[in-house]
Amino acid sequence: MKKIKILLGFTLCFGVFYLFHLSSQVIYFKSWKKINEIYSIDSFFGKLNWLIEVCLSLILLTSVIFIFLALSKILKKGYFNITTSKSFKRAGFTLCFVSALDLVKSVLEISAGFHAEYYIGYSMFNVLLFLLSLGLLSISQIIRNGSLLKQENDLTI
Amino acid sequence: MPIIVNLDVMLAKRKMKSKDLAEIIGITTANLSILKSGKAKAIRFSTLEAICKALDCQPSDILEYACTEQS
Repeated sequence: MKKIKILLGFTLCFGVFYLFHLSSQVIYFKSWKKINEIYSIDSFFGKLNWLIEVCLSLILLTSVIFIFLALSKILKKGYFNITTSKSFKRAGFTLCFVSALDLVKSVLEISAGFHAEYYIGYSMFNVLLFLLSLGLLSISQIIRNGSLLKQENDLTI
Repeated sequence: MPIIVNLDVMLAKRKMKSKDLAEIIGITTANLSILKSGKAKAIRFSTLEAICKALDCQPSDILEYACTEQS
């Protein structure tokens, strides 16, 4: 449980810093004029690139929140329970969704010839994120099976 | 579940209370209640042996199979 507590602390810190980063991005680019200046020249999506990035960041933040909820439920109810499994499943699906979308975006940017060297490295990060999401979905399934086994064990007289 | 637990019937026949049986076989009254209500998923051979010994009966007196047709 000590490691879960450490992981929960790191997740909370990451969530708070990510929220801070996201809000600072929104505050910094509050005018379309500024967004036009920076994004419209060197991006496939033009000024919409900013909006897409903010949306993807919000989905990623949602995933972090689900992970946080799952970890806090482990601390409250133990390793094997259905609610933890559901939270991990939601986190896995949102992470899977955001990494797939980000990967598609990177591929489009590369094919259009915008910052190819940057986006190739970035797409590798997205692949890693995708693998992480599959790992979360697997953990969710393991917890679900463990929960069923625990329930059966508890109801064996 | 098609397996019916007739522990209540046997307890009535032997005129024994649930609390006493729980004490004799060494399980909690809560667990005995789960067993009686049919919510239990499984029963250990050791528990079944203890119940049979305490009530002086056979496993078939406690457990019964009832065929339920599913449409």
